[in-house]
Amino acid sequence: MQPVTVSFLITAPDYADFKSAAAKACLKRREIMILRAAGCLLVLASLVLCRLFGSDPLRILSYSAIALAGIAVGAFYEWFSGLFVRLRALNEFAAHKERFSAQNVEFSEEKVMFQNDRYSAAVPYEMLFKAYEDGRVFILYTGMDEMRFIPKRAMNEDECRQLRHVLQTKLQEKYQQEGAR
Amino acid sequence: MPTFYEGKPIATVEQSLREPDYAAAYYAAQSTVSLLRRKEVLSGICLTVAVVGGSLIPLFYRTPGLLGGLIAVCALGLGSALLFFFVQPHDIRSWAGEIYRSNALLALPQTITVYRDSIVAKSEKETFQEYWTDFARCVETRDAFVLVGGRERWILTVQKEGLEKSERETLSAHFQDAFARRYQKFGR
Repeated sequence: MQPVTVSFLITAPDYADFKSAAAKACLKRREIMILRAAGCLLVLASLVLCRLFGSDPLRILSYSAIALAGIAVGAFYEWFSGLFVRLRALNEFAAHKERFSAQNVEFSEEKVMFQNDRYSAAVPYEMLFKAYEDGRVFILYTGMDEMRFIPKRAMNEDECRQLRHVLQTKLQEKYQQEGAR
Repeated sequence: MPTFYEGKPIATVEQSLREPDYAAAYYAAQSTVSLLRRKEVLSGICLTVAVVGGSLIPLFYRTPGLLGGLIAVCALGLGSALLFFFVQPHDIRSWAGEIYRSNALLALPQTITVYRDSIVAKSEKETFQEYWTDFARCVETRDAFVLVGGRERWILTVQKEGLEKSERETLSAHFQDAFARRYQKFGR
């Protein structure tokens, strides 16, 4: 493998993409299923209540609100949470702009090297906790709560493919991919 | 890495962070976020609720509905006090243990060099520098100085083990100066 070098300056949309992807990565499939079931139950409960006690408009209105809450939780939870995460990330970025400096990341056959004005590391792939890829970013986890990201806009299609291949090969089940183009 | 005006290091510490060290540092960091995070304060509040609930029982002895409610408040207060005092600290420490085990970089032997304005941590795989202004606060415990909220690592500890008494005092005085109101002592 030819070493892949990615250099970038983190921008506000990059940071929002990263936070949104990290939030998606930590959401377990079981949790999504539970949320969907809870949403369905709320909608069902509102229909039953409306059928049994829906005599006056105020009650119908409150049962409709329950149904709407059910739809929001069951069908749009990821969309809503993504929106909130992005807004929060954008605010965080605006408040701590000085913390986001230029980054240089180099992927070789055996290790990944990170470099910025304060941090330099050469981490073998086997020391990574996991990696996650979505449509916009690659996230490399050095620990459960410690991660570094690479926006895909800083790479061309070929570099993306090479990086995906090396992560798939080296990390195997520790590599997650979701919604990647 | 340190800038020219910082001069010689104030202290250089060689350390290998172990899981219990990290768990203790993480617990200290969590407990000093606010007063309401301290187990003594939380259990004290719950115990007060239980005592107030219990002391009202003789007043409402003849009202079965209220009596039941007061007994429930009393039991809930006592249960929560026990939970916050014994169970939650254990859970926080085991969560910290999981974080430590997940991050292979934390277990590597490190050389920590403390300068006037910054700290440099160096291990076989990584080197990074943080300025005091990068951290949210510094917590001094019996065994370590815990620097919380850094740019590169959320918790950076400087272990006291192996340091001379004079070195510990120098570091303590330096961190007190550097962090001013963001400096706290915990569990001493």
